[in-house]
Amino acid sequence: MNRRWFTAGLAFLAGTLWLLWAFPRFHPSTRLGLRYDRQQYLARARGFAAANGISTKDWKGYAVAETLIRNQELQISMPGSRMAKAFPDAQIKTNFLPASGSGATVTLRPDGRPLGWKLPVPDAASKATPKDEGRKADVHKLMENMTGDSVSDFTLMADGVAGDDGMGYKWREGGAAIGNPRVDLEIISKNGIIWEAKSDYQIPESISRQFKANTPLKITAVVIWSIALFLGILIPVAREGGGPTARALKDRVPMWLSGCAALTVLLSTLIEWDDEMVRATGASGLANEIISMILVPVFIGLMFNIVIAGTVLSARMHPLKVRGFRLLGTRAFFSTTTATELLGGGLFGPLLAGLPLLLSAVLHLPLFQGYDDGLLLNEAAVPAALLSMISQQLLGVIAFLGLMMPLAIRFSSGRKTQKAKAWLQPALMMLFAVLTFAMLQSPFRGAEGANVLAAALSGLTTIYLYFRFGMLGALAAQASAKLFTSAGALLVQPAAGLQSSGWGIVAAGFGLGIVLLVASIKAPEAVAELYGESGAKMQTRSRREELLAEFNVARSAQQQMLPAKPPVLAGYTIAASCDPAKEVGGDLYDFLRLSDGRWGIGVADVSGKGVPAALYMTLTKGLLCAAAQDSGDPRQILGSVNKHLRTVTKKKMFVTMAMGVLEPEARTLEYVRAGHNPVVWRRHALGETRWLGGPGIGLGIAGPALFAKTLAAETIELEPGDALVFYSDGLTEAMNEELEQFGEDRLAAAVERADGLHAEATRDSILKEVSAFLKGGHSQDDLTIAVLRVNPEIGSDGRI
Amino acid sequence: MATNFTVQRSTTGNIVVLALNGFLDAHTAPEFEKVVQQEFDGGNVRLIADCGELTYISSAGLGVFMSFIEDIREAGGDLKICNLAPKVAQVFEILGFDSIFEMVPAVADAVKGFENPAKEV
Repeated sequence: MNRRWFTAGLAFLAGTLWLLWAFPRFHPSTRLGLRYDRQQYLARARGFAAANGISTKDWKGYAVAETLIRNQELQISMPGSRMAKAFPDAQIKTNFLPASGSGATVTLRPDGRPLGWKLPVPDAASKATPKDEGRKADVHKLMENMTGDSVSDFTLMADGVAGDDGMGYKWREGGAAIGNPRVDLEIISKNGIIWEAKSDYQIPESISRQFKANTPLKITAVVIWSIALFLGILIPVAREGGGPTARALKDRVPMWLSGCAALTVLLSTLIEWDDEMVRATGASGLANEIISMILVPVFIGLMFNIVIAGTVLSARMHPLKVRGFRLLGTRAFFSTTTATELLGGGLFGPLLAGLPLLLSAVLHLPLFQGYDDGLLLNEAAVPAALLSMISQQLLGVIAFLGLMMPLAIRFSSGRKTQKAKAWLQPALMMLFAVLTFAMLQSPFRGAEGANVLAAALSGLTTIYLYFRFGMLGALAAQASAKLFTSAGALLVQPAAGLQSSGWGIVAAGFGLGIVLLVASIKAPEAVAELYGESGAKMQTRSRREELLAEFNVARSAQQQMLPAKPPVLAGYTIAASCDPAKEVGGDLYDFLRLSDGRWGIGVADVSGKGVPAALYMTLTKGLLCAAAQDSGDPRQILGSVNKHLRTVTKKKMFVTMAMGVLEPEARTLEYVRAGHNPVVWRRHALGETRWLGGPGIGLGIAGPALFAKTLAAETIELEPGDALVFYSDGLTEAMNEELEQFGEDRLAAAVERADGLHAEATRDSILKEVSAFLKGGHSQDDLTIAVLRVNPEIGSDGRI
Repeated sequence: MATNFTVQRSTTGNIVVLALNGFLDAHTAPEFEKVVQQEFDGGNVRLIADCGELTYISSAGLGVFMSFIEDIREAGGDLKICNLAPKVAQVFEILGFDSIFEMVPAVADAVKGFENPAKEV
């Protein structure tokens, strides 16, 4: 307990120190160099518009920063190239919307210089005017300002061509040799106003090809990951059946969480809505945005539901590890358990965030985007950063921990040897971890080995956290890492305003940490208390449901072990049934074709009830079948069963059995009783009921000699209409509410009343009397009955 | 109701009499088992189970008798059962325990049985 906190504290300290040193050196966000904050960029953009006669003072302004990864890749692949250096690392898109009419967009470099703009077209009727022709010097100045190069670096493509939109000027830089990066500039002036300025930075195919985002690794990871995810959901569903799956889906946990997830995605979409407007006002149209705004949360909510339903089903593999995660969906979501897991995992955030930087430093490889650039110029950076902690990436990690870890455990626990288990389980876990994190984050471009290594490091940390601080802790570490990265990405920007946002995020993070720390100590501490009524019910109910589901399988397996149908013998009808008091029972009946061609009918009762009895019941069944193949003598058969049972049960258990061996033609029955209740012999013709007792010790009690000595066989001759009723003590000892037992007398009377009925009707009639006696209650013991009726012919009314 | 079971121990010479009272079922059998085990471990192998106040015995209770009898006899002792109520006696008989255990009407008969070992069943 203390060790894991020591580790967490150490991880936090080391991670934070490492981030402080390494983040400004290796993090890709340092390449952006945002010199201004949102308001300042907007002000500059308004300035460029104003210089060209468009006042945007009363227009609503939007700004969003975009990282230009392709340009960064170019700079890294062409170090020292002056041309490549001119390509911006990022751009700030601003958009101004008037109350009506068309708006203005201005794109800026991080250092505040313009990259281009598009203002409302001046609605002068005339084409290019002399004003526009005389603007060459202004245009050249603007061009130099946009690129940072001098006019002499450019090739003039069209220096002043009059068109409908005005006077156009076009230049190209760096395009002399094919395969070089180049910039196309276009500036259009109309009515003396430069209403459009464009810079088109083009990266040659030969270079962009080196940096494919969808690498074979990532594609392979996605494919294998999807299959594993599918199996992770399918296997528990297939094993548990539709019922538990439906219940798991109905469980408040997935509903609550998926609702939250959908809401979060919706909220974050709304927060970004302003920025989406920037893009939307282009040409793509608002409809697409609205559709994606609705569909994305629905899809993610659905995914959450499926993944969490699978997780709930798989949770039984590691119930303790998933406890905090499941508690989130209950009233006890604010508890020491959840707070402890969240805090413990959260402390690992800086370390997790620092792992890619470590690889970058050691391997001398540049990192690419590993942060949320939507956050950089967000109006409300701190709440946005907090919200972005719950990301779609978390869904991937939930799927990994909730579905694939159990898959790894389940698959490896099927192995025969302990040795195979010892390496297969961690190997499978690591495989899934690498696939997951390679898919979620491949921070290096064109260096797959480094990406695999990065995924392995993140995966290893996550697996460690899963075992130390549970699933919730592992997820908290991801969220915390994201928060630290967000803060770092803002703190490394030169703009003071952005830095203060970064500090705001740090403060919020520490605030969260302190809340969790206090909660982990002060929150309602007793877990039992926390679980409360509803919580405890939820816990026990699901545990109970799990057991019941298992028992249902066991019950049907056991029922299938009993003969499906009694044998069809000319002149006889046979019927039997077995109703366990609990889910599984220790009673059994069987019909055996003996080696001498006779038919054995047996009813047995294992001492005790429930699972232990059920285990010995199956053993007895097996022993009986085996013995019946070797002998036709019931005394020998029972002797053999006794011998083996005695060896196995270690005198802790015993089995009683009554067995009749019928010779159908001769109409004789040889009968033995090993400690079992006497069989009822109803002699129809004589109107007489006899109890077939006889000496005999229960199976598994005495040694072979004593057993054989006491066991006596009796042969009786049957007459048409006679019935033999084998039963277990669950029938005669069935107790009603007045604590009365059904007893032998009522049984004998019931058998007498069934005179003239064939076996099945006899059985049903007796059982009906028992249940009438119990007045709807249930027998406390297993209730087994087997009836043999000698019937010459059956009338149409079912009577003999 | 399940815990309504007690064992009272007394001695007659070197014979230990265990007077059973109440329900001997799956819940109470471990208690009885512990008592018998203690006697056996303490070297007391001449045991009498006085079942006069035993109102019910389940198969688990019978299992306790069964699990000790051989060890006790091998150690030169015996576990005799006496004073069975008719309903309980019937359970012992159905199971065939009467051919394994010495079942006598009263404690005195069981004591006599120990003193006169020739009268073995």
